[in-house]
Amino acid sequence: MDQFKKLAPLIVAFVMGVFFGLQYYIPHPFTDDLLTGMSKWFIVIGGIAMGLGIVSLFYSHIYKIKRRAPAWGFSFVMFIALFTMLGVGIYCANAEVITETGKQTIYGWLYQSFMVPLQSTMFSILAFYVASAAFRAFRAKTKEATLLLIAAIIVMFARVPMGEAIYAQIPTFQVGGMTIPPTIGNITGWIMKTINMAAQGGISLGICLGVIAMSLKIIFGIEKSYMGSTK
Amino acid sequence: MSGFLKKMSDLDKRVIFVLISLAVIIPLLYPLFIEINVNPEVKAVYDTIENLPNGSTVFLAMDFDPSSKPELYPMAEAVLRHCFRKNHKVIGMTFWVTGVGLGEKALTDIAKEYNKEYGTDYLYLGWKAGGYALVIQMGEEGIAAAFPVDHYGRETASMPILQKITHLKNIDYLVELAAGASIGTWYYYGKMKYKFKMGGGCTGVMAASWYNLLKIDWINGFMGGLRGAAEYEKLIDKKSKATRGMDAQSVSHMLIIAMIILGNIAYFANRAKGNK
Repeated sequence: MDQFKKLAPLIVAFVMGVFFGLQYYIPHPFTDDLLTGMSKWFIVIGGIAMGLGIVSLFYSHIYKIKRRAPAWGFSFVMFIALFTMLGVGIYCANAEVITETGKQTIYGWLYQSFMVPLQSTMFSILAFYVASAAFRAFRAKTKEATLLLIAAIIVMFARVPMGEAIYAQIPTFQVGGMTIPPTIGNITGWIMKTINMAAQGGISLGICLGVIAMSLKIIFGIEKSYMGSTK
Repeated sequence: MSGFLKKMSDLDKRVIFVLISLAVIIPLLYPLFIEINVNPEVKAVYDTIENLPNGSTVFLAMDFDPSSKPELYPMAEAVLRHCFRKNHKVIGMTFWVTGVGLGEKALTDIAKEYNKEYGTDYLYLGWKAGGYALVIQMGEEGIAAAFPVDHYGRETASMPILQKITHLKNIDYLVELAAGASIGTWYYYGKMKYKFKMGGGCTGVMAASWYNLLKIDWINGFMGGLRGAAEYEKLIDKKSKATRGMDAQSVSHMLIIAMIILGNIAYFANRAKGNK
């Protein structure tokens, strides 16, 4: 039985992996129907995964409260938020409230009044950390760091209208049909569309090869960590 | 002078925080209205929507949540204004469960501006679990099969907007506003198979990687970050949130550049002093 438990997921991964890998290259109504059927399974599994996520979140925070872990009080806040949104969503999602902007559902009001400002505030704090980190870390200590620094300053300067307006004050002249100095748009365009794209292309290719290698390892049962064990 | 440089290299981060706050708040209160130049990649999205015959259908995938609202929400508003002005029909949805309310607000607010009718001129499918499987289902079995009910729980199959536009292959243009990797889902399982045109918008940090997507023809154009949204606002001649935000971004970028330069001057001056 134990052997079967270990073998069954490997067989499923192999059969499904090989079949749906080949399916992509065999455009036929039969294979398309199979893919559509499988996609429905995926939607159902996605829904169940969402439920599992909530259960896991529930237990993880209950555990924190029981252990009086650091900042365990915030777990209570999480439960209040979770059950309020869940309760409103299930029992009175379409009930309306009158707000200063007109009628709104209670769920929509909770979302717009709590979720949006809280999440926006959290991420806006990044601006301060990015500025502080840029000031401290952007030092021309090596040749590579200097190149990165120069490229970053040019792009930061040119990607905002104020930078373009300042640069536009520099007098230009024509030499053999070329504008000297080139426009700031051309300089950043070259950085983004030539240097950046070459680097991004290399990274993307590397990622794709990695994904293919990992997929093959899963299909052929070499990589088993998804089963919860590396043995 | 050396005292100043020493202070610069040991600058308290709270000073930086205050300076950044001022650089953001002051331009928002007193806008500078600096002229914005439009880049070709943004113009391409605008031109595609502009050149579609009146009454075409644009699918707007709003795959973001409040964390990227300042950049992507103005894009959604600008694209919606353009579509409704051209009398295009709009079908909206999101892959981000935490962004479902933003998509709804953008669609209903802008539709109200143009007196558009729900179910006939626009439709909001909302969110449903499934990711790429939903795209396959919308392509193979139809939009109404993937979303039997819309965001509000109303039956979609009988809605006038879905009578002619039944499957993904029927849509004229898909605009993907992404804060994550959902562009791949729309490309691999959508555009590649059902051959619709695709453009989009992304956050500023993602813009560098989207130039590649433009080159390999995944998309025909894109708006990158707040700047992209502001450029689109300029194209539709409706300056709004993004244009106002660009002033704040301009000043804060200049401040960061000034700080980096001063920080480097201080670093080299202190290093030279240490070598003596």
